[in-house]
This record gives sequence, structure tokens and C-alpha cells, in this order.
Amino acid sequence: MPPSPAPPSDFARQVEALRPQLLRFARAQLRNDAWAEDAVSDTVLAALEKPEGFGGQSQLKTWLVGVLKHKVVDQLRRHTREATVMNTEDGEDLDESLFDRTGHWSDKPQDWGSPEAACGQRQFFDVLQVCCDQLPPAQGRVFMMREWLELETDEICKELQITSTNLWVLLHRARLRLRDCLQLRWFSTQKVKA
Amino acid sequence: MKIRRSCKDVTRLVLESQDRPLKAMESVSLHLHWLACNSCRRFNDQQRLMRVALDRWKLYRDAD
Repeated sequence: MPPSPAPPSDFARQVEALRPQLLRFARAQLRNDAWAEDAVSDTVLAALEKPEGFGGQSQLKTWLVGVLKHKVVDQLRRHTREATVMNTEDGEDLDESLFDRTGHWSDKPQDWGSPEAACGQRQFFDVLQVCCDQLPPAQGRVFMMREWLELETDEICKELQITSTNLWVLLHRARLRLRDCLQLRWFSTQKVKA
Repeated sequence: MKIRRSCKDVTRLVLESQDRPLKAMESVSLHLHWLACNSCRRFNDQQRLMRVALDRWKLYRDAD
């Protein structure tokens, strides 16, 4: 008689429970639902196949996020070409509106106050999250590869098969756009103490 | 060798400095520009704030 399938272990249940959070991370990085689903499925599968990989020293979520990061890179590698296709928003150059023809600021940067003041407020991070999610797809992917996956620029170029000049242009635009969004959604609504 | 830079150029360097090490002369020209330009100093402060925020956010996201 074949053995009856074992009931899901506590470990499997805990892993499953974290699936929605993993999916949110994967979506934020990959900006493509199908790729995100694949990355998360691969992560869950890897965890269930090798539960002994989880030493128990860290939180389960931290360990799974570590596995997920590798699976996300696998997905990017698999979809290199589509991952770097720019849409019209990616192509927009914010520099053009920031500076006048002589290269001076047309809209002077405001005082944002100290990092501690902003970071002391939980809502600030919600705004940061929204602003990152709103980056156009190609910019968002390279920005998250840099900031969340913490890849070096030459690794990103290699994985996505783009030149370092292309990468700098995308990161440059992403950081300017993020700054613009934070200004609009957070700092223009705050009274910054001088 | 380029010592005098426009604000647009300084902005590009400040952004690139997060993704590649600047050459010594680039760094010098930034500091010279900041001496005279309040707007670019502010922009740099904004980027520093974003740097701190992104690092802290990373910890939140991964762990809590």
C-alpha cells in the first residue's frame, strides 16, 4: 500500500503563510505578475525541498526573502530583453524641466530638513513605498536591483546585458523621479523647521 | 580638466556618485561648486536624506 501523503508540516504552513508578503516584494522588483508568481513559487518550492537550509537563527521571513532575492535575479536573467524595454515614461528626461537652458535650476530644491525628522515618521516610509512603486518599469527594475537586491552596477549590467551608460541614465532618472515624488507627496505637505 | 560646472552637471555627478566612485577632480569640482551654490548643496542634502531613508526602509521591508 502506498504511503498516504503526509499532512502539511508546521514548517510548510508557516512558509505558505508568508507567500503574500513574498509576492508583494517580488512584484515591487519585477513589475510583472507572472514573473513574480514564478519567483515566489520557486522560493516556496526550494524552502519545502530543503527545510534544513533554514537554520532557525534568523526569522523565517528573513531567510525566505534571502532565497527570493536569488529567484528574482533568475527571473530577470530569463526575461532580460523584456525587462529593459523602456516605455515612454522611462524615456522622459526630467533634467529638461529641472534646469533652464544655461544649466541653472529653474525650480530651486527645497530644504527637506534632517533625515532623522523624516525617517522618524512611519508614514514617510509608506510614501517612499508608493513613490518606488510608481517608477516606470525599466527604471523601477534597475533601481530595485540596486537598492533592494543590493547588486553592484557591473552585476546589473551583466544580468540585464546593458551598458553602464544605459544603467546610469536609468538610475539617474529613477532617483530624480523619486525625489520629485517625495517632494510632491511628502515634503510639500510638511512644515520643515529651519 | 573641468573645474567649473553647471548645476545640471553637478546634479548628474551627485547622482552618479551613488553608483560609481567619482574621480578626484570630479569630487573637487563638486565641492567648489557647493561653496557658491545653495541650490546644489540642498540637492545634495536631499540625496543624503534619500540614501538614509532607503537604507532604513530596506531593513523594515526585509525584517518586520
